[in-house]
Amino acid sequence: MKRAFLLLLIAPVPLLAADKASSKQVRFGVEVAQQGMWREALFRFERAVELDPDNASAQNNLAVALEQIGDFDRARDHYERALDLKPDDLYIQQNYDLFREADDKRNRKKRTSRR
Amino acid sequence: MRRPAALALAALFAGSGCASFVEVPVETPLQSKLDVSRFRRILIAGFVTDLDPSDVDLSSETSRLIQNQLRSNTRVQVLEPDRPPLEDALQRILAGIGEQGGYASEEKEQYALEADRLLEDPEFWRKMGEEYQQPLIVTGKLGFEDQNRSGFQAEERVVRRSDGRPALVRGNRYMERKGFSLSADFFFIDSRTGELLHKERFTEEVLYGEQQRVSPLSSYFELMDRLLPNFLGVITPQRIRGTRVLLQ
Repeated sequence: MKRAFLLLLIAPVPLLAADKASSKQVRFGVEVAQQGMWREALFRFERAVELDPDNASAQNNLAVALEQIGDFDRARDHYERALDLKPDDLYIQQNYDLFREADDKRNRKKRTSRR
Repeated sequence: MRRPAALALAALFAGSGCASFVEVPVETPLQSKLDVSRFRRILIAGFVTDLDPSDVDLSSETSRLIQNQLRSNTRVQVLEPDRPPLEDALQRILAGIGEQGGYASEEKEQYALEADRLLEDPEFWRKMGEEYQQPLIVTGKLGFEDQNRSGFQAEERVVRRSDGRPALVRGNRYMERKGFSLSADFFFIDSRTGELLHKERFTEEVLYGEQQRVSPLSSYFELMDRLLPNFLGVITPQRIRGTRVLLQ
């Protein structure tokens, strides 16, 4: 009984550690993104997502970085994942709306060029 | 509308320490409509314009402007013939129609028809390609016209009544609004085959109030300035600028 109680207390510790490490990567990623170093930011946000796939900020930021380098399919996936995690987040919703607007433009261009 | 609301909320949350966000500028790539990587050279062959006298030499001004833009925005070699090579062919059409000077409407129509035929004649473009080492050829039709949208427009004014209180008065006022419109049909031609690769029409219009006196040439440049990014988007990759929010 005592052992089970201890296990319950200890179990969340690795999860919390991963959560903290993920947030650290996110913070550094934001710092470098602000300096325009998007490749480095992308690496950091990817690490953050690996460490904690349920980190909505990391998912959102990864989507932004992917959009910036032109990987739109993956950007869409991560925006959607971020919205699944935090459906009421206005920032993520706003980013996603702007992404879709830009994506429509790109698709219109593709359609015209195929004509 | 969404953005200001979101930012206002953001400020609220940031103030209370609930959220941390950073707005960053992003530039997302936008592919060109045409893949022109197989061309090393580009030739602006000149443009068909109508026969009415104009304050702007549309064909040569546009050729020059596009050449300058291509030189700064692309890696292809921009060919610079002494005069746009389409000019000679258009002159031959004109010579077949009659004396230079004022043209009757049937003559203008005939010229327009023959010029259209020339624009879509693969053999003509293939021969031009042989002469200029098979570049991508840009040509087309241009129109630049006066616009007059003067007329009565509804307006509201606040006046003082005899008792000194303000009152809203609705009425109509004659407003002079004149300007210009520019239309451009661009043809992108593969001069190895003479085949039309892409055709696109752009139109722009500008109107000025009664106080503004703008020359046709200035107005033409204003309209071309708006139109050129769309033209360049056909053959060079563009970037969509915007902002996104990073979360911490």
